[in-house]
Amino acid sequence: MVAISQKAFIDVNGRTIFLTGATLLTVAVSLAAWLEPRSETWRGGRARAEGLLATLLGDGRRLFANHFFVKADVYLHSGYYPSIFDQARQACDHGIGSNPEHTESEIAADTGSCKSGCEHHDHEASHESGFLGPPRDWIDRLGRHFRVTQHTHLEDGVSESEILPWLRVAMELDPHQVEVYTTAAYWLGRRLGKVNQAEAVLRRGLRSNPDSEEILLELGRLAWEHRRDAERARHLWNAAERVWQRKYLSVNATNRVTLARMLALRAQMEETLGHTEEAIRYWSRLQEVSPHPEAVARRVAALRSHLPQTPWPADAKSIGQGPGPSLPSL
Amino acid sequence: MWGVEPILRIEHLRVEYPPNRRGELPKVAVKDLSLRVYPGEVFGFLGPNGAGKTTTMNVLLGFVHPTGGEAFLFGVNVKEPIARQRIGYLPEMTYYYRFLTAEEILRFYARLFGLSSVEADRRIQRLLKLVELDHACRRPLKHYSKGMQQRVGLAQALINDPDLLILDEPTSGLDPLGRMKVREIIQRLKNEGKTVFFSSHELGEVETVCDRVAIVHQGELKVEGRVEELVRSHQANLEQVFLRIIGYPTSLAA
Amino acid sequence: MKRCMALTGVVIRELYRRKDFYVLFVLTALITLLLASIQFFEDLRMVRYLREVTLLLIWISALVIAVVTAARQIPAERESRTIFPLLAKPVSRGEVVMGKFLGVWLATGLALAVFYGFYLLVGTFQGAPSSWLLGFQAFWLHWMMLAVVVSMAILGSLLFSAPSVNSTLCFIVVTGILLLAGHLNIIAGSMPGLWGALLYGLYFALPHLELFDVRDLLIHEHPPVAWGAFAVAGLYAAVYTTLFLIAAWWLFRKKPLST
Repeated sequence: MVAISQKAFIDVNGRTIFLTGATLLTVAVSLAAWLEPRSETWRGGRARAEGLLATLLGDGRRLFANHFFVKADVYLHSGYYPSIFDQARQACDHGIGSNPEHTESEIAADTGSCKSGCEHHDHEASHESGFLGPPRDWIDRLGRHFRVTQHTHLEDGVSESEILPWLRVAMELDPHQVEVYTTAAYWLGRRLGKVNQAEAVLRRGLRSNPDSEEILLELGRLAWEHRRDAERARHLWNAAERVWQRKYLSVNATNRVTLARMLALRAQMEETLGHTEEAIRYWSRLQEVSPHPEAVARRVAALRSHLPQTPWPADAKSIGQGPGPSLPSL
Repeated sequence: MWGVEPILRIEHLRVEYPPNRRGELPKVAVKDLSLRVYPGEVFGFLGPNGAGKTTTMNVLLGFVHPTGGEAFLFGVNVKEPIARQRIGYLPEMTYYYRFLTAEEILRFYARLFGLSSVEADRRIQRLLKLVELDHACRRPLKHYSKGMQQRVGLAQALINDPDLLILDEPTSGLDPLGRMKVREIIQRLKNEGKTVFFSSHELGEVETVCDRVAIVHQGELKVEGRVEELVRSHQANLEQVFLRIIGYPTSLAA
Repeated sequence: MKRCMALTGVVIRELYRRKDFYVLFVLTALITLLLASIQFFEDLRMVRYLREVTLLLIWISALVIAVVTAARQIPAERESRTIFPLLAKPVSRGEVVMGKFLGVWLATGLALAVFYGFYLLVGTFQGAPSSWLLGFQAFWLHWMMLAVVVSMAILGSLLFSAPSVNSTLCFIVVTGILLLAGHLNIIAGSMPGLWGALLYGLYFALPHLELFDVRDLLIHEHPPVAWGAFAVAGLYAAVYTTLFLIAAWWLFRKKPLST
């Protein structure tokens, strides 16, 4: 009798526990379902943020992204890099305002003007070779033994990959910084021979920035230069131009560079393919936006007079091979 | 006895504590205290709470610097650390590194006294046996009971085979068995010719083991002498003598 | 010296019986190994970022170990009242300060050696071993810097009785020095008058801990530091350490300790 009642108690007890647990679980799930849409209202913009990092850091992540982008540049220079204090002092010494664009996007500039090796550093030699200046005191003199004082670059076609982790982190932190994608794509595609990776980076960038003419431009360049897919390149450059037209009502000093690059790349491709008429059309358009239209005009004239097989002048050959900053006529 | 050089000598000692931040006036803890303790004596240092006993001991051990006067141990000014080379000190409460074992803590103190490792080993084994901790000597102190920690304290006070032992309330907080053990050890040290200087509130205990006592009150030395002489001259036991000296009505005590 | 070494032994025992070091080491090792397992753009040749992160973790861990251990030494002795049986022995307060310093410094050095050993091993397994000579120099300079930090924290522990306050201040001061001290002369140069002079004075008075940071040389595979400069840096650290320890002894010398 006792045994039976004990068993019944255990059964009842077990069932009670099970039922209570199930009820609590149901309540918890219902509450979660009810609360989820409301919580978005309470949390405001953060609920719609891109991910954990955005939720944790908020807009501060852009600062970190910028920091890591600069870090990539520091790596490119093997640690030889001016601090913000050095930059400020240089600005004072030269009587000019500091130029954050130079230091912060130097790596991007590198991507543009690097043809073979890094000749582009000639233009920055005066800036960087002497940013340390002569030692100011004995502590400064001693300190130089313990820091990087030689200006060297990663340029063996392998070690450049060292900058990539920081670019990846910068992308994670700020998916809307277009420069990071184009820079990473440059190093991956053109310096490290990882075309698929470069394209994947640009596609990723495009997903986060569908209105970026720079990314479309670079994708087109990748299609043409690495895959020789002219149709695709044309399609992408057309898309880039449409985005550009939509975004900017008129040409100004800032937006002119991208448009000029688009036109130059397109013109060069058409010329290479033997579509002279098309090439002349694009060169002519380029002439309209170029601040030095005479060089482009000479090119158009040469094309018109010599027709497709005419050899290119040495200075004009680089046009279109690199992005905007390397264009001598712009 | 009087021709012998005292082991412990205090001359016109004065200790003032500076005013605290709450604006209290400077506090005089000890006023013009002079005292001598001779070799082989067991000396009881008595007084009610706040009388200046602990401050005096703190001066002897170098924890507090006197405002005036001087104190000497074995003829060396207590300001010199070497004055403490031949003393053993047992604080009222046990304060030892809880992450060390009894053996490690004794070895550490032995090294502070400059003992060789062979000599230190020999003494550590002997003392651990004396305080009945040889079975637990490899356990960290944090796992010891209060009584066991007190015994470690006693062992560390004896590690240098001291000629003078300074004991601050040695039986405070111990059970009757523990008190008896401490009394036995004091008696044994006395028989070995060691000098013991200790403070206590247990006047019965003091009467049992002490040769001489000093009673301080409000920082001043009120009386000093042999226990039997004090008892005889006051026609009372030590507790009554003590109460009379500190001005407590003995009728109330009775 | 024997007494100093006895005190040193206790501090070292304390460090390896506490969990701080193990936790920090495991954390550093885990993060490093996790990062080493990540492939960026399917490329296995990247090692510099790993070096950078590992060295940063080593620097943070070493600083935490050094500051926290040094900052609590004397306050913990006072709080747990172990200072009384200690000073009742023939030990001077100067020896206590010195013993505590040596203990923390040596213990931190042992921890640092483990960290740098791990760093060099990871580099070797990654197929991009760092220069062992520069690795040694980095370790040594780091350890020298920690001597200054430890002595500073010990001095701080005599000024601020709460170890947490002292630790926080030490972290702020050390981080501030590492980030800014090397640039104070530039800032001073741009400030005319009294403020510029004061800043210049501060620039020369502060211990330049950034001198001991050769992480960039290690990360970017630059040649080792010239031995002459290396020796001068050691001397520089020794001077500041001695100054801080003398100040600590001066403060501790007359400090009343009531039971």
